[in-house]
Amino acid sequence: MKKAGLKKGDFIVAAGVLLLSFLLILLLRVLPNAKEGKTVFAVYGDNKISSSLSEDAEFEIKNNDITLKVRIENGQAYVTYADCPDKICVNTGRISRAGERIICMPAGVCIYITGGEDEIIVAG
Amino acid sequence: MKSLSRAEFASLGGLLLGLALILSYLEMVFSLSAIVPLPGIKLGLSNIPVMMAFYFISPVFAAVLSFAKVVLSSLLFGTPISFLFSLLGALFAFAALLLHRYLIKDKISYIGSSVLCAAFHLLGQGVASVLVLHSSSAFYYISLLLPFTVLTGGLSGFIVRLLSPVFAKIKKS
Repeated sequence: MKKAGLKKGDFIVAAGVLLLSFLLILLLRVLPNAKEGKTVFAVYGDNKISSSLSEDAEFEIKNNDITLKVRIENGQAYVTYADCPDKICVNTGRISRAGERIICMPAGVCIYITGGEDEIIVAG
Repeated sequence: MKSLSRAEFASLGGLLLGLALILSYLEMVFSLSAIVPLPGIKLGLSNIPVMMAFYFISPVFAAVLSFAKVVLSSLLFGTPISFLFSLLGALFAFAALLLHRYLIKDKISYIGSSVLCAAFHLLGQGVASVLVLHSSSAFYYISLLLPFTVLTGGLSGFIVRLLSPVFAKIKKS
Protein backbone atom coordinates (compact mmCIF):
# COMPACT_ATOMS: atom_id res chain seq x y z
CA MET A 1 0.00 0.00 0.00
CA LYS A 2 2.67 2.47 0.85
CA LYS A 3 5.72 2.94 -1.27
CA ALA A 4 9.21 2.54 0.14
CA GLY A 5 10.07 5.55 2.20
CA LEU A 6 8.44 4.30 5.34
CA LYS A 7 11.19 4.08 7.85
CA LYS A 8 11.45 1.67 10.70
CA GLY A 9 10.72 4.46 13.11
CA ASP A 10 7.31 4.98 11.54
CA PHE A 11 6.21 1.53 12.55
CA ILE A 12 7.56 2.09 16.03
CA VAL A 13 5.56 5.28 16.27
CA ALA A 14 2.38 3.59 15.07
CA ALA A 15 2.90 0.67 17.41
CA GLY A 16 3.66 3.05 20.25
CA VAL A 17 0.46 5.01 19.75
CA LEU A 18 -1.62 1.85 19.59
CA LEU A 19 0.08 0.51 22.68
CA LEU A 20 -0.53 3.77 24.49
CA SER A 21 -4.22 3.72 23.71
CA PHE A 22 -4.46 0.12 24.86
CA LEU A 23 -2.69 0.94 28.10
CA LEU A 24 -4.86 3.98 28.60
CA ILE A 25 -8.02 1.93 28.29
CA LEU A 26 -6.71 -0.65 30.72
CA LEU A 27 -5.57 1.98 33.15
CA LEU A 28 -8.86 3.79 33.16
CA ARG A 29 -10.80 0.59 33.69
CA VAL A 30 -8.69 -0.57 36.57
CA LEU A 31 -8.22 2.62 38.53
CA PRO A 32 -10.45 2.82 41.58
CA ASN A 33 -13.02 5.53 41.36
CA ALA A 34 -14.23 7.70 44.19
CA LYS A 35 -17.46 6.71 45.76
CA GLU A 36 -17.98 9.84 47.79
CA GLY A 37 -20.94 11.90 46.89
CA LYS A 38 -22.46 9.30 44.66
CA THR A 39 -25.96 8.06 45.13
CA VAL A 40 -27.54 4.87 43.90
CA PHE A 41 -31.12 5.28 42.81
CA ALA A 42 -33.55 2.51 42.10
CA VAL A 43 -36.69 3.43 40.23
CA TYR A 44 -39.59 1.08 39.81
CA GLY A 45 -43.22 1.84 39.27
CA ASP A 46 -43.93 4.99 41.23
CA ASN A 47 -41.15 4.32 43.70
CA LYS A 48 -37.75 5.83 43.84
CA ILE A 49 -35.37 4.74 46.52
CA SER A 50 -31.82 5.88 47.02
CA SER A 51 -28.78 4.96 48.94
CA SER A 52 -25.28 6.27 49.21
CA LEU A 53 -22.72 4.40 47.17
CA SER A 54 -20.14 4.68 49.90
CA GLU A 55 -22.14 2.76 52.46
CA ASP A 56 -22.52 -0.97 52.12
CA ALA A 57 -26.14 -1.94 52.00
CA GLU A 58 -28.45 -4.57 50.73
CA PHE A 59 -32.05 -4.25 49.76
CA GLU A 60 -34.79 -6.07 48.06
CA ILE A 61 -37.04 -4.70 45.35
CA LYS A 62 -40.27 -6.28 44.31
CA ASN A 63 -42.12 -5.06 41.26
CA ASN A 64 -44.31 -6.78 38.67
CA ASP A 65 -44.13 -9.96 40.71
CA ILE A 66 -40.37 -10.13 40.27
CA THR A 67 -37.95 -9.85 43.14
CA LEU A 68 -34.50 -8.32 42.84
CA LYS A 69 -31.85 -8.36 45.48
CA VAL A 70 -29.51 -5.43 45.17
CA ARG A 71 -26.28 -5.06 47.06
CA ILE A 72 -24.01 -2.07 47.49
CA GLU A 73 -20.54 -3.08 48.44
CA ASN A 74 -17.12 -1.44 48.05
CA GLY A 75 -18.50 1.45 46.10
CA GLN A 76 -20.22 -0.82 43.59
CA ALA A 77 -23.84 -1.69 43.11
CA TYR A 78 -25.07 -4.90 41.62
CA VAL A 79 -27.97 -7.30 41.50
CA THR A 80 -27.25 -10.47 43.39
CA TYR A 81 -30.46 -12.25 42.66
CA ALA A 82 -33.45 -11.82 40.42
CA ASP A 83 -36.21 -14.15 39.43
CA CYS A 84 -36.83 -12.56 36.08
CA PRO A 85 -36.65 -14.90 33.08
CA ASP A 86 -33.61 -13.44 31.33
CA LYS A 87 -31.35 -12.39 34.22
CA ILE A 88 -29.81 -9.57 32.21
CA CYS A 89 -29.81 -7.46 35.33
CA VAL A 90 -27.74 -10.01 37.19
CA ASN A 91 -25.37 -10.41 34.27
CA THR A 92 -24.88 -6.68 33.94
CA GLY A 93 -22.54 -6.94 36.84
CA ARG A 94 -21.35 -4.10 38.99
CA ILE A 95 -21.85 -0.45 38.34
CA SER A 96 -19.85 2.22 40.08
CA ARG A 97 -19.77 5.32 37.91
CA ALA A 98 -22.26 8.06 37.39
CA GLY A 99 -24.40 7.31 34.37
CA GLU A 100 -24.02 3.56 34.54
CA ARG A 101 -27.24 1.68 35.02
CA ILE A 102 -28.69 -1.75 35.56
CA ILE A 103 -32.08 -2.37 34.07
CA CYS A 104 -34.50 -5.22 34.55
CA MET A 105 -37.17 -4.94 31.90
CA PRO A 106 -39.55 -7.65 33.09
CA ALA A 107 -39.54 -6.17 36.57
CA GLY A 108 -39.58 -2.59 35.36
CA VAL A 109 -36.66 -1.66 37.57
CA CYS A 110 -33.88 0.76 36.76
CA ILE A 111 -30.89 1.19 39.05
CA TYR A 112 -28.54 4.05 38.35
CA ILE A 113 -25.87 6.21 39.90
CA THR A 114 -25.59 9.95 39.97
CA GLY A 115 -23.27 12.44 41.52
CA GLY A 116 -19.61 12.21 42.31
CA GLU A 117 -16.69 13.93 40.65
CA ASP A 118 -16.83 12.05 37.41
CA GLU A 119 -20.35 13.08 36.56
CA ILE A 120 -20.54 15.54 33.74
CA ILE A 121 -23.41 17.94 33.87
CA VAL A 122 -24.03 19.68 30.61
CA ALA A 123 -26.05 22.82 30.95
CA GLY A 124 -27.02 25.76 28.81
CA MET B 1 17.58 27.50 2.99
CA LYS B 2 16.88 30.03 0.36
CA SER B 3 15.46 33.26 1.60
CA LEU B 4 12.18 34.31 0.17
CA SER B 5 11.53 37.91 -0.59
CA ARG B 6 9.05 39.60 1.65
CA ALA B 7 6.40 39.54 -1.00
CA GLU B 8 6.90 35.85 -1.63
CA PHE B 9 6.81 35.24 2.08
CA ALA B 10 3.55 37.06 2.47
CA SER B 11 1.85 35.40 -0.45
CA LEU B 12 3.05 31.94 0.47
CA GLY B 13 1.84 32.47 4.00
CA GLY B 14 -1.52 33.68 2.81
CA LEU B 15 -1.84 30.77 0.43
CA LEU B 16 -1.03 28.19 3.05
CA LEU B 17 -3.31 29.82 5.58
CA GLY B 18 -6.18 29.87 3.14
CA LEU B 19 -5.52 26.25 2.35
CA ALA B 20 -5.49 25.35 6.01
CA LEU B 21 -8.79 27.14 6.58
CA ILE B 22 -10.49 25.46 3.65
CA LEU B 23 -9.27 22.07 4.79
CA SER B 24 -10.46 22.88 8.28
CA TYR B 25 -13.89 23.66 6.96
CA LEU B 26 -13.93 20.57 4.77
CA GLU B 27 -13.17 18.42 7.78
CA MET B 28 -16.27 19.75 9.41
CA VAL B 29 -18.47 19.27 6.41
CA PHE B 30 -17.22 15.85 5.48
CA SER B 31 -17.38 14.40 8.94
CA LEU B 32 -15.94 10.96 9.38
CA SER B 33 -18.79 10.15 11.70
CA ALA B 34 -20.66 8.63 8.81
CA ILE B 35 -18.10 5.87 8.46
CA VAL B 36 -16.77 5.62 11.95
CA PRO B 37 -19.48 6.24 14.54
CA LEU B 38 -17.34 8.33 16.81
CA PRO B 39 -18.18 12.03 17.00
CA GLY B 40 -15.10 14.16 17.03
CA ILE B 41 -13.07 12.08 14.67
CA LYS B 42 -11.38 14.24 12.08
CA LEU B 43 -9.26 13.62 9.04
CA GLY B 44 -6.61 16.02 10.24
CA LEU B 45 -6.03 17.40 6.76
CA SER B 46 -5.68 20.95 8.03
CA ASN B 47 -2.37 19.99 9.56
CA ILE B 48 -0.86 19.40 6.11
CA PRO B 49 -0.11 23.07 5.31
CA VAL B 50 1.39 23.46 8.76
CA MET B 51 3.64 20.49 8.24
CA MET B 52 4.70 21.67 4.80
CA ALA B 53 5.57 25.04 6.29
CA PHE B 54 7.47 23.42 9.13
CA TYR B 55 9.63 21.28 6.92
CA PHE B 56 10.09 23.49 3.92
CA ILE B 57 9.97 27.03 5.19
CA SER B 58 10.72 27.34 8.85
CA PRO B 59 9.39 26.16 12.21
CA VAL B 60 8.64 29.72 13.23
CA PHE B 61 6.63 30.26 10.08
CA ALA B 62 4.71 27.08 10.78
CA ALA B 63 4.05 28.13 14.37
CA VAL B 64 2.58 31.44 13.24
CA LEU B 65 0.59 29.66 10.56
CA SER B 66 -0.78 27.18 13.03
CA PHE B 67 -1.82 29.89 15.45
CA ALA B 68 -3.44 31.94 12.72
CA LYS B 69 -5.31 28.86 11.56
CA VAL B 70 -6.62 28.19 15.05
CA VAL B 71 -7.74 31.76 15.60
CA LEU B 72 -9.37 32.23 12.23
CA SER B 73 -11.08 28.87 12.00
CA SER B 74 -12.49 29.32 15.50
CA LEU B 75 -13.74 32.77 14.60
CA LEU B 76 -15.23 31.60 11.35
CA PHE B 77 -16.66 28.23 12.17
CA GLY B 78 -16.14 27.66 15.85
CA THR B 79 -17.09 28.61 19.35
CA PRO B 80 -15.01 29.95 22.23
CA ILE B 81 -14.81 26.48 23.67
CA SER B 82 -13.70 24.97 20.40
CA PHE B 83 -11.02 27.65 20.31
CA LEU B 84 -9.49 26.25 23.47
CA PHE B 85 -9.65 22.73 22.10
CA SER B 86 -8.12 23.78 18.81
CA LEU B 87 -5.44 25.81 20.50
CA LEU B 88 -4.29 23.07 22.82
CA GLY B 89 -4.53 20.49 20.08
CA ALA B 90 -2.43 22.61 17.74
CA LEU B 91 0.05 23.36 20.50
CA PHE B 92 0.57 19.72 21.25
CA ALA B 93 0.75 18.85 17.56
CA PHE B 94 3.43 21.49 17.08
CA ALA B 95 5.33 19.99 19.99
CA ALA B 96 5.26 16.72 18.10
CA LEU B 97 6.81 18.45 15.10
CA LEU B 98 9.51 19.91 17.31
CA LEU B 99 10.06 16.49 18.80
CA HIS B 100 10.66 15.13 15.35
CA ARG B 101 13.00 17.86 14.31
CA TYR B 102 15.15 18.05 17.36
CA LEU B 103 14.92 14.66 18.98
CA ILE B 104 13.95 11.86 16.64
CA LYS B 105 15.26 13.42 13.44
CA ASP B 106 15.90 10.91 10.72
CA LYS B 107 14.38 7.82 12.20
CA ILE B 108 10.85 8.52 11.06
CA SER B 109 9.47 9.85 7.83
CA TYR B 110 6.71 12.40 7.33
CA ILE B 111 4.20 9.66 7.96
CA GLY B 112 5.48 8.86 11.41
CA SER B 113 5.71 12.55 12.19
CA SER B 114 2.14 13.04 11.06
CA VAL B 115 0.95 10.16 13.22
CA LEU B 116 2.67 11.80 16.16
CA CYS B 117 1.03 15.11 15.30
CA ALA B 118 -2.37 13.47 15.19
CA ALA B 119 -1.84 11.63 18.46
CA PHE B 120 -0.46 14.67 20.23
CA HIS B 121 -3.28 16.79 18.86
CA LEU B 122 -5.78 14.40 20.39
CA LEU B 123 -3.97 14.43 23.72
CA GLY B 124 -4.01 18.21 23.65
CA GLN B 125 -7.75 18.13 23.17
CA GLY B 126 -7.96 15.68 26.05
CA VAL B 127 -6.20 18.19 28.27
CA ALA B 128 -8.57 20.87 27.06
CA SER B 129 -11.57 18.73 27.92
CA VAL B 130 -10.25 18.13 31.42
CA LEU B 131 -9.84 21.87 31.87
CA VAL B 132 -13.33 22.57 30.60
CA LEU B 133 -15.21 19.76 32.28
CA HIS B 134 -13.14 19.50 35.44
CA SER B 135 -13.34 15.78 35.07
CA SER B 136 -11.08 13.14 33.67
CA SER B 137 -13.89 11.20 32.06
CA ALA B 138 -13.00 12.45 28.61
CA PHE B 139 -9.92 10.29 28.69
CA TYR B 140 -12.06 7.22 28.20
CA TYR B 141 -13.10 8.70 24.92
CA ILE B 142 -9.59 9.79 24.05
CA SER B 143 -8.38 6.25 24.45
CA LEU B 144 -11.03 5.16 21.94
CA LEU B 145 -9.99 7.75 19.38
CA LEU B 146 -6.28 7.29 19.83
CA PRO B 147 -5.92 4.23 17.58
CA PHE B 148 -7.54 6.13 14.77
CA THR B 149 -4.87 8.78 14.91
CA VAL B 150 -2.54 6.23 13.39
CA LEU B 151 -4.80 6.06 10.35
CA THR B 152 -5.60 9.74 10.00
CA GLY B 153 -2.02 10.75 10.77
CA GLY B 154 -0.82 8.22 8.25
CA LEU B 155 -3.09 9.69 5.61
CA SER B 156 -1.93 13.26 6.20
CA GLY B 157 1.68 12.17 6.30
CA PHE B 158 1.23 10.32 3.05
CA ILE B 159 -0.14 13.46 1.42
CA VAL B 160 2.79 15.45 2.75
CA ARG B 161 5.10 12.89 1.25
CA LEU B 162 3.35 13.23 -2.10
CA LEU B 163 3.63 17.00 -2.00
CA SER B 164 7.18 17.20 -0.74
CA PRO B 165 8.88 17.12 -4.16
CA VAL B 166 6.90 20.19 -5.13
CA PHE B 167 7.96 22.13 -2.08
CA ALA B 168 11.53 20.95 -2.33
CA LYS B 169 11.65 22.78 -5.64
CA ILE B 170 10.56 25.99 -3.95
CA LYS B 171 13.46 25.67 -1.61
CA LYS B 172 15.92 25.22 -4.43
CA SER B 173 14.69 27.69 -6.98
